[in-house]
Amino acid sequence: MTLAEVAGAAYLNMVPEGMDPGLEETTFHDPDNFVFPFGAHACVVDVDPETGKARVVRYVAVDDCGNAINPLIIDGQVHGGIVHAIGQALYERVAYDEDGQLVTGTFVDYALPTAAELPSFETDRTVTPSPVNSLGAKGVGEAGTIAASPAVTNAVIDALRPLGVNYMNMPLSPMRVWEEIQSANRGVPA
Amino acid sequence: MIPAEFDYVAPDTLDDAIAALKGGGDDAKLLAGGHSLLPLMKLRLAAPTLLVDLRKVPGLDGISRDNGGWRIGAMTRHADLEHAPELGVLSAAAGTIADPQVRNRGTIGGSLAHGDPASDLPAVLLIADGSVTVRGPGGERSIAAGDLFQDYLETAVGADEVITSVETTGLDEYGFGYQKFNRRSEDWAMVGVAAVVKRVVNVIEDVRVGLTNMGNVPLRATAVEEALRGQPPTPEAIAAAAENAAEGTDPPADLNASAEYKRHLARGADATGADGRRRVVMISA
Repeated sequence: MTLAEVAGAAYLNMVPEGMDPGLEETTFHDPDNFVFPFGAHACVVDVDPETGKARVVRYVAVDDCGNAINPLIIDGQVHGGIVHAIGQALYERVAYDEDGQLVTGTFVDYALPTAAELPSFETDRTVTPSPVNSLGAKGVGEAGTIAASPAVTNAVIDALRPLGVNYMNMPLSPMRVWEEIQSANRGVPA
Repeated sequence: MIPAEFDYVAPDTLDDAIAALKGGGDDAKLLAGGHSLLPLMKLRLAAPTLLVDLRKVPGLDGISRDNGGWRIGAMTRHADLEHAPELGVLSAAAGTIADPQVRNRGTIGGSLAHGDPASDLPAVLLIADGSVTVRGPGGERSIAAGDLFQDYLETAVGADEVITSVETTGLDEYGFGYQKFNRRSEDWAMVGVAAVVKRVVNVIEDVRVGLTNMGNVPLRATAVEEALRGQPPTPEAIAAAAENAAEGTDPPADLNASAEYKRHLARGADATGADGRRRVVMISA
């Protein structure tokens, strides 16, 4: 019997009396273990003390997603994730005015980083195959987004540490960094 | 993202364009590149009922020498200015406008008529002692840069007038610079500073400084100019003069920059070189 014959019989109501047409089956997969991709990202930022503008000048990412099935796609995933997270760290912000009107409703106001704001990323891999699936592969889609925000934020804070700054809220926009520097110079918290 | 309904015409002559503009009344707008107007329409912040496109009107573009200065057709694209280094500070400023796509479509006449103090060319026109030639049903007249910009998005160009050309004085003996601070390279200026300076031997004979986005209209930093005129162009003198850059300004605050931050940036931009180091655009040229 062919699959087409089975499907035809099921949907043409040739099923036993009392049974609804169609074939349905549900199963649940309960894996014994999850995969754990891991990695480490490091970056160098320039912070202009005059304007507060921070710029990522070097970015190094080493990720482990097990066996690399398509290295080019992995690099693309990592690059995109890093950009996304640099956006969160330095540029992107959802803001409302006093009346509850969204004032960052266009990509003019909701600032995504573009190629002009970014360095060329240096990526590399270690390969630790996952033991819990037959491909030995692990997810990599979110690796960049997870690591880059703290890497960039910590780098900016590190630059300001001699002034006594050890915490800042994202995004580290030029005015926010400038205000932090001004406050630190005056010896009062921002 | 969808504009309100509007009619569209693309006349073949300037007279037809003026007639269409007049016939369309207060809700008719000229289209001269569209990279400011169309985004406003898509956000429904503007809803003209008629667009009169100038793209087919002959004789509105091109750069030529005129009485020792320059005459620039109103439909000349930012990219054409950018690639005409002989225009000096105007070319330098045009090269910082938004991104290549905008520079390939946006025009000098369109930008000046829009009257946005955050755009880069108005402050340059101001320090170049420039003017625009406009034509309407009543004929032709010239409007000096100082009279052109009246308020935020408001210019002295009449509702039925078309800017046909832009005139600037020649600044051939002047050094120049345009400094712009923004978050991303394609963004509007938080603050921009345009400067031209003429040196004789080792003294600043003439200096003009224009400010972008430091008020509802482009401004001259007259206090900086006065402090520098007749002085030797030393880094110390320029840094001291730059401290006056925000004097008399009342910059509008926005999401990314408070008035205080803008005043600070104006002082710094006056005294910082194109490479970001602490030196001065005015003596570097």
